[in-house]
Amino acid sequence: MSYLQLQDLNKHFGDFQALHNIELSIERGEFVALLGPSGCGKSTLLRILAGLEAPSSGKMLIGGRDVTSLAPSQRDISMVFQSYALFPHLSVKENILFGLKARKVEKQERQRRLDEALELVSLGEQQHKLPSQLSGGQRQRVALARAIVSQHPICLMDEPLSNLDAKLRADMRSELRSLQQQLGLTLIYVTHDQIEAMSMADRIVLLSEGQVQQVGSPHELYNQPQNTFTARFIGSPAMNIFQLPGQQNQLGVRPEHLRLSSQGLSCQALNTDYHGENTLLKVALEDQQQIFIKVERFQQFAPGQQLFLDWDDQDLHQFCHAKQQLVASNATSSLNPAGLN
Amino acid sequence: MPNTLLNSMRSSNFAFAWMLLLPAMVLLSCFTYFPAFSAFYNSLFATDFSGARHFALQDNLLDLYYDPVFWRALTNNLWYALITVPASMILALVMALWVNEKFLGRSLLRLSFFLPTMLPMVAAANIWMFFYSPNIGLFNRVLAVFGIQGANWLGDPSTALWATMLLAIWKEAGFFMIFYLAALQAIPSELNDAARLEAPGYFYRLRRFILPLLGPTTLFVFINAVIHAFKVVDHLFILTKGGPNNASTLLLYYIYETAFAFFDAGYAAILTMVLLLLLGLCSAIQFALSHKRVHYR
Repeated sequence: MSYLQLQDLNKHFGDFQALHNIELSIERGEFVALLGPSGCGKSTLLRILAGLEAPSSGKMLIGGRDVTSLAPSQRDISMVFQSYALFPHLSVKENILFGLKARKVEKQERQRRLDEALELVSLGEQQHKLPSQLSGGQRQRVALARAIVSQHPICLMDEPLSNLDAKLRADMRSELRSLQQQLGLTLIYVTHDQIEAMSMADRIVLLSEGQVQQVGSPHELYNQPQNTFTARFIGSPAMNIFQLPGQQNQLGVRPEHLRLSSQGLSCQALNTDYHGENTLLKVALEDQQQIFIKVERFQQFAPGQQLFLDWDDQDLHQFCHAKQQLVASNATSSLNPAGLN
Repeated sequence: MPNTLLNSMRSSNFAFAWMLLLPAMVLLSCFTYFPAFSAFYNSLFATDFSGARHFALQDNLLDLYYDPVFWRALTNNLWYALITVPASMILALVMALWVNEKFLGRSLLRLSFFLPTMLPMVAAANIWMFFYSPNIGLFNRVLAVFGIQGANWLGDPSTALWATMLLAIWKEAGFFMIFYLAALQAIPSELNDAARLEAPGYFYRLRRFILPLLGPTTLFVFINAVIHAFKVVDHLFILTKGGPNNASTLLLYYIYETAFAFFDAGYAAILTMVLLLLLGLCSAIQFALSHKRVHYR
């Protein structure tokens, strides 16, 4: 039985249903990313996990115990907020110890955990400063330390890196990941940034409009998207999904898996977008459907230039037109574009 | 030539600035600074019947020292402040904490807490007059239901001051609640969430998180409450007129009586100076004390 379980969870805000029948199992020590576009319900789900919001129906179990109706502080869960939520009137040290003092942890034990946490996030010298005297990255670390000292087995994070600059964010990603593994934390991490989710998480829960679209490892979500939403959301630029005449299913091929060839699917160049390591080429099929192709380095094409696209069978995904779901690929029916023309 | 003068006026920021200041300066001078200075002057000098001025501070201070009504008014006012300030502030905080929660009928409750503030003090005093009146009053009739003989609340020297305090607390608390409510709503919701996750006990959160963040508001409300306790005496005109036997008189009411009923401008001036000194002292102590303890975000 899984460590943390959500069973048939629903959340309504008035007439609006924010979450639909969420079923989720999370193992102890797992790093799970809740990923999705803004408004998909990922933050609501996190708040329900924290107990800050009550679900309209459904159950939440931790280690087999029903915690659905427990107060936030009774769930043995810690949380890192997007704004860090540090108490502005308390020093770094007092911020970190806030929860321990509230829970009447013994003084010696408090000090031991404080020293340990400060060491982990390397903030020892800052412990007497106020949050307003710290940089964004340092505040982030204080929030992290506050979550660590509680020694709660589950930690929730709500877009904790979104207020940091790009360089720091990249550093913190690997730091967070190693911290999580070092402490054996069960980490549930909300983000809208797929790079964060792909690079850190053991598993990704992809949400859209309050529904789970797909749950799987980053590798699975990238290589075996189960529906067009996942296919389009994971990967940048998004997967091309197009329809060919005479084909019942929609076809999906990632821009990085398409190549220009001397034969194959005929199309016309529209424009190019130079990214440094590669160039993003936009082409139009004969029926004006637009497709992106990643070509290496710097290449230029005249608008209207005739081109041919080709891809490998293994990189082709087929989706049912009506349900937008993956259709089991059939190895015998070759859809290699060379065979199409 | 006048053209050049106009030009030089126009080009000069200096003249322009003074012209902008002029309206406010004239009004403030006429109605604030001149009367204030005049009161100060009157407290120092007296004019006798022959029209000669002489230094009278010493006489005035001696009068003050031997005036039992002054001491009565002063002690009354200190008690009045000592009771109404903390009582109305605590009540305001409790009401604000209550109506800051989500529940059905919250807006109605907020409105009803704030309603006393919207009434003019004189109107409120008139209403309370009926609560307190000995025979037909609400309090005594409710007490009569339980077989208790009510007092003559406003007519009895031992209860008159307390009766005026109760009205003041009822009137002020709603006003201060608005400040507390605004401050509570300015606390970021993520901070609240964090506190709820970290600390199981409500009173721990209140003591370590909410109250410190309300510090600046508390200071502001405290200063206002103290000033009100010395400044707002409208209800005395309706309820007790300072009586019976000066049992409920307050400093400002006594100043009014001295100046406009007994027409003793000099003595009223020295009383005013005492009141001013008292308020200045209060503010100074408050700021000094609060400097360390109040955290501004």
